Amino acid sequence: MGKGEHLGEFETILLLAVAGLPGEASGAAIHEQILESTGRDVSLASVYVTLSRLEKKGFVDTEVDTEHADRGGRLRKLFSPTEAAVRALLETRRAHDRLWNRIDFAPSDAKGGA
Amino acid sequence: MTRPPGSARRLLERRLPDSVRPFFLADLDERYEAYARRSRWQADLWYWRQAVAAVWSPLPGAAGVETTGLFYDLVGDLRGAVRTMSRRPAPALASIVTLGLGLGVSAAAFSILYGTVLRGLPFEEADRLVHFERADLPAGQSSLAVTPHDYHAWLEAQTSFEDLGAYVEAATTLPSDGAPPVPLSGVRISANAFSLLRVQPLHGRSFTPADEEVGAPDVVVLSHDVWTARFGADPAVVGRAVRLGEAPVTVIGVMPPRFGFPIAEDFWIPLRIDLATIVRGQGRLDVFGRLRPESSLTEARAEFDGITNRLSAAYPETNADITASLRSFHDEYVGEEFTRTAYRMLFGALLLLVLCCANVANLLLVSGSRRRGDLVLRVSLGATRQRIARQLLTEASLLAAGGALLGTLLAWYGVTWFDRVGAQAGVFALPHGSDSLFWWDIGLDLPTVAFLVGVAALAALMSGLVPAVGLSDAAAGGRLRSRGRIGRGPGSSFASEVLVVTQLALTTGLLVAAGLVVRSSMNIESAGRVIEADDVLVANVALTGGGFSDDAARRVFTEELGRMLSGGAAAQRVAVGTTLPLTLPHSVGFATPDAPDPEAHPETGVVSVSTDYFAVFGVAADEGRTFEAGDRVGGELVAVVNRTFADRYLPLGGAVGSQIRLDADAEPWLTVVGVVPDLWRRHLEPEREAGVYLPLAQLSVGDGAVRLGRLGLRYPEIVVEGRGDPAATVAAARDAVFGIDPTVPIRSLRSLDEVVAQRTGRYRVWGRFYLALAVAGTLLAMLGVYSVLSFRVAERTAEIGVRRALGATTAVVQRGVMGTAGRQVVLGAVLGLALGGALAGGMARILFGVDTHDPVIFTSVAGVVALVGLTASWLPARRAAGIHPVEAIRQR
Repeated sequence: MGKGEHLGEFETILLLAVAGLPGEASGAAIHEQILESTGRDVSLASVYVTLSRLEKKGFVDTEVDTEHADRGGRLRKLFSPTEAAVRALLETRRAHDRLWNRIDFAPSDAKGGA
Repeated sequence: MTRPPGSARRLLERRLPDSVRPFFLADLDERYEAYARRSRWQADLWYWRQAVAAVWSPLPGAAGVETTGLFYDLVGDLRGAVRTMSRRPAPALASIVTLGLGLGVSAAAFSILYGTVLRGLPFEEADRLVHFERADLPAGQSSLAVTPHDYHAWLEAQTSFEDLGAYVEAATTLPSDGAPPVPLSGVRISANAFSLLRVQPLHGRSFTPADEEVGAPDVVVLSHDVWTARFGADPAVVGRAVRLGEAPVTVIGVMPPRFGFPIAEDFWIPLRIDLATIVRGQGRLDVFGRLRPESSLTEARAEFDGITNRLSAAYPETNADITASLRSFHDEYVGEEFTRTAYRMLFGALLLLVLCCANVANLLLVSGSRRRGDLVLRVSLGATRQRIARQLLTEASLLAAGGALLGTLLAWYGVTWFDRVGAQAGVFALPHGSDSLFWWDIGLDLPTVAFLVGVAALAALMSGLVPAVGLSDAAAGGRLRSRGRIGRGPGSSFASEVLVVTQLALTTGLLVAAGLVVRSSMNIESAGRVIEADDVLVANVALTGGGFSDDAARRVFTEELGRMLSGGAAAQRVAVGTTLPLTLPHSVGFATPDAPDPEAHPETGVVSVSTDYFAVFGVAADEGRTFEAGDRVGGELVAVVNRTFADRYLPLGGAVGSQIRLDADAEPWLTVVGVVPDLWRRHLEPEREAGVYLPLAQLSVGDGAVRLGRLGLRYPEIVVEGRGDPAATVAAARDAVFGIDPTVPIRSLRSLDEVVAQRTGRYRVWGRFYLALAVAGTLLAMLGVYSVLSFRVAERTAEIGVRRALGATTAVVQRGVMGTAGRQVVLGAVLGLALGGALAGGMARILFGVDTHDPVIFTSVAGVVALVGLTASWLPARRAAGIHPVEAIRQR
């Protein structure tokens, strides 16, 4: 994997959230998803900034949706992961798994000497 | 539907990039509604947080185009600056304190200059007010009072001025129940004066032409201060008769606050001139006028040249060679000397500010080099060189803003100090003998704040530009491959050395200035020691009232006072003189048998004194004797000269018994009976002054002009030697004056120590000012040399380690570091001594008996600077010598 395709932590979290909301991944939905899954109340601005970077790297596609009923006809932009993003996410996961597999401790050990 | 906070919403609508705005706002609204269902105020708070974060974020356009509006850059730069500073607060704090010092001192100096020189008189078109004197240039007299006859001739002939007005000093007293009368100073002034100045009384009326008539009822206009302090600010005092001096007068008006024309007057009474009773050529007036809008001062001068020429032709016996001298009223009373001093103070302060900026620039450069890694990274991520430079300038601006806040505090303190100490200690000798002028107002006013802001911006530029250029150069050079160990680019290293040399040069210059004033203070101390007298009181009284028609009457008063006081319970001895030691006396031409032409040498000072004058000051004759009771009218006419006079003009060893003659050929020859040490000094000139003392007792009516000077005995100095209880001496002196004539105002009553302190005050205050500047400058320069060298040693750790490994000794390593410092110190000192020479030339007039090229001072300053350089480089050199090869390699 080349340098430009490397995913940072927040980028990974964002891409996972986008991937988990097929057809529904608006900025608001992504923000809500991150809050529920990680407990982090990040700023919507940082979501936008990071998504724009991911778009430049070719990891997300966007489309403008004007018809959505819930939003009272308001404009919203929907994000979806590209092929490259899926590959990068899977590669990240595999790398994580390989590393995890070398570790031999029971979950209780992780709590630090219970 | 719940609505988000309106102002936050509007902020976003204004600030968000077009391409993002609709989506961002829709998303934000959706999330806000979800939050608002739980808690409205928490949702509002959340919305605000989001809005602020959005405004401060580099939000992209939808097309992925980076938005680079100035605002976003500025916000980003400010954020970056705050982050950098909070990560490393020590250099930031040091910079703020340093800039605050420079800015504070500069603002205080500007405030003083503005409040005293630049603000000007508080009258409509005050720059058209002109002050008149007469001059007799062939006789070397450039500052003569205007006679009433000339004033009237001018009034009738001139056309350049709307009108002319005149005034003359008039001291008096205001009786106060049971206590000695309160002395007041005021002027007799022409009736048109207030309308010429375009000032109206606060209460009552101003003068009318009828008030000027000889024999009209006596009336007075009071100053706001006197009206408040003495009459409880009672408007009903207008129309009432009060006692002023010996006579009752009717108060007709009260002037508005802060009006004290011409100097700082308490009252104004009408000037009544009866030309028929005044001999042409006699009498003295101060004259002023308001230029017509269509005439200039140059045209007015030409017109008055014509008028005075005609008067010279018409009255050759009184007006031969007499011309009129016209100056702006403001310049006449503020004076060139004071103006120069105030500008010089600002210059010194700005010099310190430049020094502070150089130090901050260095600090930024050094601490910036530590984050070269960050900067290089940003360049490789696409930041332009300009972007990096702007970021660094923003940091400097933020520091300058902090410095400006601190500087405001310091300036306030400095201005308060000046008001308290400066003005009262006679720091500035104003032309008309006053300590202050009524329109002076020194404070942190709008112009001062504007100056502070402007100078702070300049300081930000001065301290930020060199690091910005140096570091952005190096970062743009892309030294990302220098393995994390960030080498110093040639740009910043050279810049840093230039800064250190500049600092050293400025410091050297300031040290020369400080050395000169310290030397001057020492000279003043030794000059003051000539007078050794404890418990001596000096009273200055005004013998100007109606009871004193001539100097003979005034002498009777002083003799009476002496009889009442001396030998009494509170005073041992009483002496009278026309001037005190340390004060410039009246000067006249003179002749000796060897040098009969008075034009051939400078004039000499002349003081008329009573018999005990020298004894009271504890001064004994070096040769011969001082005055005795036998030196009276009818006896041999005698004089005592000072050491300088004897050395310059009288035969060596034969001073006593020589003959001298003062001024005109008609004067008799006097026999010198004694030589005393030099007791007086001119304020502004360090040369020793020749002086002659004459006994008051030999004064006969008619020769007062020569013996007593222009003012005669109008304001005699009465010197009382007490018996160890200063309070009793003061009381006895007051009672004695009051007992002889209750209308005589006591203008001042102070101990001799206070008088000496006041006379020498300006030198001491200046000494402290320059000394403080020099000490601050020296510390700053030391810090600069130290920080640059320590940084350089730190970054060369690896190189030094390798050298050590290759066998370099401690001495070799130390020499390397000290050598760098040595070059900078030598260059800085040479430039600084040249600067010091230039400064010294401009300071000659505030120095007391100091050679401005004194080699001792210049040599010792060079020594101090060398010492500073060595001390500052010693620690870094030691650290370099202590570097172990292993440590150096580990760092690599």
